[in-house]
Amino acid sequence: MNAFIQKNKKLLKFYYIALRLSGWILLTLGVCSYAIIIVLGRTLRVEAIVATSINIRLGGSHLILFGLLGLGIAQLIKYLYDSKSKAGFILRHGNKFLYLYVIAILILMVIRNVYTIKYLSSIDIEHEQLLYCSTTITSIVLFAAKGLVLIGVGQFLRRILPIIEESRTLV
Amino acid sequence: MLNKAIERNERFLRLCCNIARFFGLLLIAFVVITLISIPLVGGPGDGYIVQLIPRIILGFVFPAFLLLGIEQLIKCLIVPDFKPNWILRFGDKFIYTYTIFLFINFVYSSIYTHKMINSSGYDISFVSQTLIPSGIFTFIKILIWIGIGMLLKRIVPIIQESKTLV
Repeated sequence: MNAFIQKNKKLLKFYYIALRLSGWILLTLGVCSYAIIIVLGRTLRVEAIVATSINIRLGGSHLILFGLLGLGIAQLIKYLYDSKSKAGFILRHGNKFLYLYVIAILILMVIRNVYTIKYLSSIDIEHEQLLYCSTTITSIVLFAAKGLVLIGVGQFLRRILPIIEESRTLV
Repeated sequence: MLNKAIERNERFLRLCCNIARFFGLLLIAFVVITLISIPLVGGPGDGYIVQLIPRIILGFVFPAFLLLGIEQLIKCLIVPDFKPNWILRFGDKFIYTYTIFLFINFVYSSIYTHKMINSSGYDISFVSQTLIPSGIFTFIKILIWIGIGMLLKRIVPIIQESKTLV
């Protein structure tokens, strides 16, 4: 393992820098898209911006999450290969970020369901009760699966850091 | 200390494992049913299947393997005599293959968008409006996935090594 690290040190360093840079770019883009849409929507009150703001906000949160993921992986790579480095903030609180993400997708699921049910009740269709039930049940099952898997990954992350730390102290 | 924490959460971790496994297998079953039903039912045209296959791989096959890989990884942590199966052993290769598909999908969708914009006659710059943002995002996504692949390759031996310690 150490021989591999020595052999690929340059590549790993390059990789760490590239991922870190990319993470920051995504994080900045995500935050900027949020800020721009809020400022434009409030000051100009343009209908089109207000109407599309939910989609842009969702896109922004996607960028922010990917940015955090990139930074977390960069930190994990550095932590794994550089024996002197300490786990960074995102890595130390990686499980909490994942739990927050689960809460965020729970809120999004509720909002989407409310919108869908409102929309379905506004149009005249047959078997609307059946449609309500199938939409809600599908989204709840998918959320439960996604949420539990993400919490599992969070738990895994919490356990893996001490294992890596332990392996670094071995001769 | 760590083992105690794992033992305390073992039930919950097993539940996560089972759910990941169930949905992974469900996705694979869905892919198999789709692939069998397409020739029987028939699609809109000859190019339909060619367009559908990369989408099935990116949208269903890879998430299925990802879920099964997560299941194996958690099991590797909680089951003492667990030996990683082929999904975990070749996990990094799966991820590298996925990044190649991501790149192909990006090239294909860029060409398709370019053709659509040209045919619609809209006066917008193709490069600035679509190619640069999606290119940056795809590039970063590929970087992140390669990073995960590299980590996976190193983490599994470390976990196994830690199990042999007294």
